[in-house]
Amino acid sequence: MVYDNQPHIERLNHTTLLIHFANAASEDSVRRVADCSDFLLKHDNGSIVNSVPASTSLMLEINDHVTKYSLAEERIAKQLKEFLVVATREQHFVGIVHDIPALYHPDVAPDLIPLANHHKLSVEEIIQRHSQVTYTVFTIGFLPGFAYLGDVDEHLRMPRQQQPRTCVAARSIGIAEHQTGIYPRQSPGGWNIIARSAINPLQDIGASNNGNSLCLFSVGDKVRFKAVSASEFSQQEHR
Amino acid sequence: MTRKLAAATVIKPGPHSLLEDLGRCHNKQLGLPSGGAADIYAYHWANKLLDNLNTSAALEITLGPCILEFQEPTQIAICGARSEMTLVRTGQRHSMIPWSARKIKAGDRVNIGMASSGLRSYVAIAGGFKQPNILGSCEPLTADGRLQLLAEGDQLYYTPEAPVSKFNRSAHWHAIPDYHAELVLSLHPCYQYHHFSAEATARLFNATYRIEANSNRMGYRLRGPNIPWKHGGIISEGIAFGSVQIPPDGQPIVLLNDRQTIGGYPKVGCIHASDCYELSQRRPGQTVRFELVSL
Repeated sequence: MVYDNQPHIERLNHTTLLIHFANAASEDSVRRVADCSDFLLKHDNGSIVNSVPASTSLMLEINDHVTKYSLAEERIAKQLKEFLVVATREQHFVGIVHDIPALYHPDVAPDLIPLANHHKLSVEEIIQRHSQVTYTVFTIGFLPGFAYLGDVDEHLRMPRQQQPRTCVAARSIGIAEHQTGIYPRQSPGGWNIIARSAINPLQDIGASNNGNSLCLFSVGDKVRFKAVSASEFSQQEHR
Repeated sequence: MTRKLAAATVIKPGPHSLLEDLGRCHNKQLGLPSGGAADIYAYHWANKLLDNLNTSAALEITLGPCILEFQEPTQIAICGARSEMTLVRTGQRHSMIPWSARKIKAGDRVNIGMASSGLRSYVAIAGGFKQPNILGSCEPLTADGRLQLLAEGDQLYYTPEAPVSKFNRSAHWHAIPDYHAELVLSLHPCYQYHHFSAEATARLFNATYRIEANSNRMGYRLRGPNIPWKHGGIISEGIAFGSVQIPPDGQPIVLLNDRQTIGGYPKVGCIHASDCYELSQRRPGQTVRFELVSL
């Protein structure tokens, strides 16, 4: 069953609901969820504490000190109907396009050569195939600031490593199956590391009280990687 | 004229202590967990005994021991895990009554011992601890979003002139939970509940699960009869507080305050919040059961 035009609301706990949009993830479902999140937050009266967009669903946490849950759910259901009318009428929002300088070099990317060997491609081809795609931000999670980007060229896809590394460097760019992403901090990880980003998508969390400025990416945005030389890279590097 | 703040110095921090309140808001688009006090019930009581706002920052101490020294007079209340608590004043030791407010004089040291029953204690202070907010919460974070735990020598700030209650109020003993009692977790069926087999869910509700050692604010790992799932991965979706996740090994995990924001493992439903607060006071080795309940 496809819920495309009739998203349905499921209550998860005392203060949380889940809006199901589709049974399969696509660029269209990601955009729809992102649009809906923006719409509901724009029309919120203070009862939404958190909005968690994923590729086919939107989870909302309600502040029940401000609004009784049942009233909040009713209100959201009504706004959802309004959103569906507006969404079909207006153009889909176009997310921001981010250009990320990346260094594709074995010194910072331990899986670049193994991946090339695995797919019987040259390193240059790997770089070209990875950097010529405009990726969509599907979801953000796992770590603060970690954005799952898709879809990776099928000639580059590779499963997660059997034994995750205990230490992947901050700003590493990796591939896992059809997704690619940037590690916002040093972390254990099983993704195949093929490059390093000059930009950290996550800003210093303590430095600003404005949540909007802390993570570069939002669900529905676009990301492109631009291969740069080592010297260009060190000029552009942030923390 | 700005009020001058007083400091409580951390003489001994304990293994996992930090300021908490009700948690962050508008944090999940970043992938940042909500945080907040693990046992909201004890946290609320501690603040309530002092007539604080129910969002006032309190110190969450996991296991202990913890020693604080107060610069200026105030009033505090400690609720949660049972432990030996002593007030040291000009060389004299006075025992402290749990789940009660207590007036503090300048120079007083408060020794909170290791928890013997329960796991987490909340130390509230008149007017609340003063701490810059990150996304609406006092919970301190490192630059890259990790928890910043209390260290020896740290200072916790408070307003010495905050109004204190004339009397040292106590919670009635009826209000104090028994953390040794076996806990029954009320499960609201949702998420992938209906895609688990009837046999799998029956197993869940008939079994007793033991809490594993690697349980923490992110989640409580349980060991017991495994719950089979035959459908492969699910599309990643938001994870609600109290979600019961079934990973590939079939051993349930109850996800709590510091859980990841989204995930791709199936879930049988969510535990009622009040049972989650109780769960956070259970220790590895204790047992729990599940019960099917609707909201």
